[in-house]
Amino acid sequence: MTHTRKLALVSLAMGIVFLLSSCSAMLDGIYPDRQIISVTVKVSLASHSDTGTSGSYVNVQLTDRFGNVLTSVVANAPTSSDATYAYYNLQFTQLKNATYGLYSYYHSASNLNYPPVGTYGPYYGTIYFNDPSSSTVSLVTLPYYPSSDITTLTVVVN
Amino acid sequence: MKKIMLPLAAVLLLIMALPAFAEWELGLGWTPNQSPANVSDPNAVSSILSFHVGYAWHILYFSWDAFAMPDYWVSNMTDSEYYAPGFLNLFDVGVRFVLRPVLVYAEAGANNLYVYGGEDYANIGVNARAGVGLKFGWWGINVSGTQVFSSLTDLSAAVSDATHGNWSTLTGGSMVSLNFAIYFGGRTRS
Repeated sequence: MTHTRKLALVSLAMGIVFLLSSCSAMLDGIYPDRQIISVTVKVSLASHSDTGTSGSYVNVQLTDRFGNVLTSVVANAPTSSDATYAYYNLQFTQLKNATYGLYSYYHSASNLNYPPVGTYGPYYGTIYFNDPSSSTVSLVTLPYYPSSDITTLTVVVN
Repeated sequence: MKKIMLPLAAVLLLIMALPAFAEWELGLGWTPNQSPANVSDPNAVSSILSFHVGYAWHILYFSWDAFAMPDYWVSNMTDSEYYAPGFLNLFDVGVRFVLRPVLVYAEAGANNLYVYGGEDYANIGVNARAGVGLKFGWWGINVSGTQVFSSLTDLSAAVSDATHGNWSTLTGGSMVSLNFAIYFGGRTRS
């Protein structure tokens, strides 16, 4: 191999490395499953006064776009609360760039404090993008926030 | 000044007396799972792929390495400013000795961080690297250790900690990588 050819080959390789090292698509290829969905479930205290008591819980299910459950998380105790809601914070990590469904419900410990009397639930919540649209969603397509890679959703159970 | 210049001149004369040697190298590296101590998620571990370009002239060694860093590492490096993967680019200068088939190198330099989505983290960091390996003609393998600081301030703090007996900040988080390289060039005159 002549000296000129070697230099051309090295220059080409350097160019490729330079392009790769400033390329988000390359990072997508190297880390395809790095997306995060952060979910805050807000359970209305006016409707469900038994949050945090034994037997009550929040269930959040992540499904594929066809509704098949991929993973499910149960939270028994709220992370915090205010006068109106009890808040449960959950995260789904290491998700691929894909479309997901999200279902969340509150299961009451008591069958007396919310109509129809005699049922424990589940009381399904409505899902919103936390920011910026605050619109309801049924499917979430990742990546949603390319800079932070965290999609934040709020589920309200009234 | 004389104390520095005389040894430097001696080294340069020694380099000039050796047969001229210039060589390019291209490589790929693999770093096993790295999980900083402050990341609680046990799933937040990823092995790291890196790209390498190097140039050796006599014993002087110049290199550029681009490490594809996972999101939690970038978050740690940027004080949680970003949570996305990125390329950590290391631009280093040092020395490399080849006593066939053994190869040894040590270098230091600056680094910058490209974050997914087109952001360049404003801080310029510093790093030090050392490696040892084997070189067989046009290819070789080596193991390297890299210590990265996100800024000069971080380096100063780590050195200060070390002088007070706490070496963990200075040495903690170093990356050990396995590298494969191919070489172009060689002796240019005898």
